[in-house]
Amino acid sequence: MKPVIITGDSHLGPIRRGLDLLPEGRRNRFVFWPLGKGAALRRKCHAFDAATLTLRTASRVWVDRVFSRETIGAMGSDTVLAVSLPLNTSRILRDYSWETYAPWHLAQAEFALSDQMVEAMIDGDSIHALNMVRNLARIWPRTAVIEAPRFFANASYLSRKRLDVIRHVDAAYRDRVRTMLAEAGIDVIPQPAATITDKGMTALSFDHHDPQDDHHANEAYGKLVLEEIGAYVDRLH
Amino acid sequence: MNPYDILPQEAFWSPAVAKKHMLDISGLWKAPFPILPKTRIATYGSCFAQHFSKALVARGYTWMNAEPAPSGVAEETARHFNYGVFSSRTGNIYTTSLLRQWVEWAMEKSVPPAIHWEKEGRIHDPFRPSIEPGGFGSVNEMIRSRQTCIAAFRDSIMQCSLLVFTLGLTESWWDAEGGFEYPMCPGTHAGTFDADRHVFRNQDYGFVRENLLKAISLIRQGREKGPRILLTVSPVPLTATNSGNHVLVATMESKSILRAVAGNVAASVKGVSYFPSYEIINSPVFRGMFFEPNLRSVNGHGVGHVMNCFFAGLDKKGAAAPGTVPAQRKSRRGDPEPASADDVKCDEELLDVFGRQK
Repeated sequence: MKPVIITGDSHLGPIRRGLDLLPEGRRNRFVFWPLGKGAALRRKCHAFDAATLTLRTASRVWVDRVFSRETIGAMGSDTVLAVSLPLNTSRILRDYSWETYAPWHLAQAEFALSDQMVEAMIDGDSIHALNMVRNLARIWPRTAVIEAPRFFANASYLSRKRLDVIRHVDAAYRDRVRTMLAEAGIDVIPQPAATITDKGMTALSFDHHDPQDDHHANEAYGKLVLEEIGAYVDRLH
Repeated sequence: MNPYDILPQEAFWSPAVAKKHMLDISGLWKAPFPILPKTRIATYGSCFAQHFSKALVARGYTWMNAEPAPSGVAEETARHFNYGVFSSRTGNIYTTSLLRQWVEWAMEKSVPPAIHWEKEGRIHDPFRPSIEPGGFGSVNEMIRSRQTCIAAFRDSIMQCSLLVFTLGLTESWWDAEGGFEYPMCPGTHAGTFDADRHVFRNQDYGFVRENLLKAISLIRQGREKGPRILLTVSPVPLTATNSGNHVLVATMESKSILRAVAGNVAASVKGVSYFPSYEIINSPVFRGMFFEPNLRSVNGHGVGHVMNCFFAGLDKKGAAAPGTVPAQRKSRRGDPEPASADDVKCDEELLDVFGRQK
């Protein structure tokens, strides 16, 4: 079985918990290289040396980790690097006052934002994660992105915000970032379909056990993600 | 004894100008009413007006931004989309008749015409031709954006304590069928020029004055009190003239008319005053040094000097206040939501699963 390095933000937590739910024989292929919280990606969090094809994370905010052909390849030449960073909408949903602003076609009393403006906001939020993954893919072409879970209906940052606006922004973000990843030739391992409600949220049955945590999923979710990653990797030649 | 015996030094050319270095000339303006850091100031007008908003924010004065970019959007992005230039995203309001038109829309005395311009597959708002970089994706998007702007414009003129309006042009373009005014000649930025429909009007003193008075009157009718109004005239020469005169002559004529109207209205209407940004840049005393080599664009030194004169003329009472305020209708906007709670959860989740690697 091809080895898989799973790296990225705090959504690695549920995935790692899910590992314990997998049959023993299917666990060994996965190795976890957690970095730190995704919120850090409001700024650049890495340094990339194109000459040596080495990427080093910013130790001021994340685990000090070096990605190179040597460090990744040590797992095997057929290793797949799975990254949970760019397809994470929590920053854009939390950071902006979506109770006051809305995409123009949804705006009522809110300030109407043009499509270009929303796209600029998405680009501004995603640029550092995207650049990092693009650089990782230059180092290790077998790099894929793990889609982070959609928001939960009980997320505190959704209070006073219109669900239709949040759903639109969430979907627009994922579509735009997916397009840019596709342009870079980077595959996406999607959120398991069984975890998504018909309203486009993550089902509450996959919510974190800590009632104070309305952002992360649980181990059952993580198990399904690992199965999704495994299926993706097994399809690769 | 004659009246000149008791006048201050500023009244005499020799001590006030000739015997001073040009940059030491002082007392060019004194605020006729209190303009304090807490005074809510809205700014509109021609392109020179945007310098007021920047300077007010930089000095800790309360500039009203009734249509702000979402908090967290990079300053560069916000500017690219023309947020934070004027108190709402009106774009340049060059003439007093355009000001009146905006006020009438805001006060629902008239409705903006349902027209649009197309250029290379994108839609442009004829009343804000360059507000959206590259234009809008659809007519509906353009109209919705314009509606947001008009509501924000209304909020700003209804809630400000001081409205600073910079008069820019007398030359204007009108729609003969609809009777409305365009901020730019159709066909220049976008749209198609139609000689039968698009009519040039070089506004005279009476027309400029009438529209300014009407705009002020409408604004004040909509409120219990105020706002006070500070008029300025843009020192920037015309880019081009359709008057038939040489552009230099046309510029002087246009600015002279605007200056005369501003002075007259300031002298005759209560709560209206004039700030001499036009004179500060254009006076021969300053030998044109405040212009870029094209002798049209005002350089940074000029802008800085104008604003220094403005702040020097203010009563210094009052403590510094926050730089910008949203209009009250939009007060929900607030600051970016604190991400700290979820950030902590992210740390906890990683620590819980992976231990203290970081």
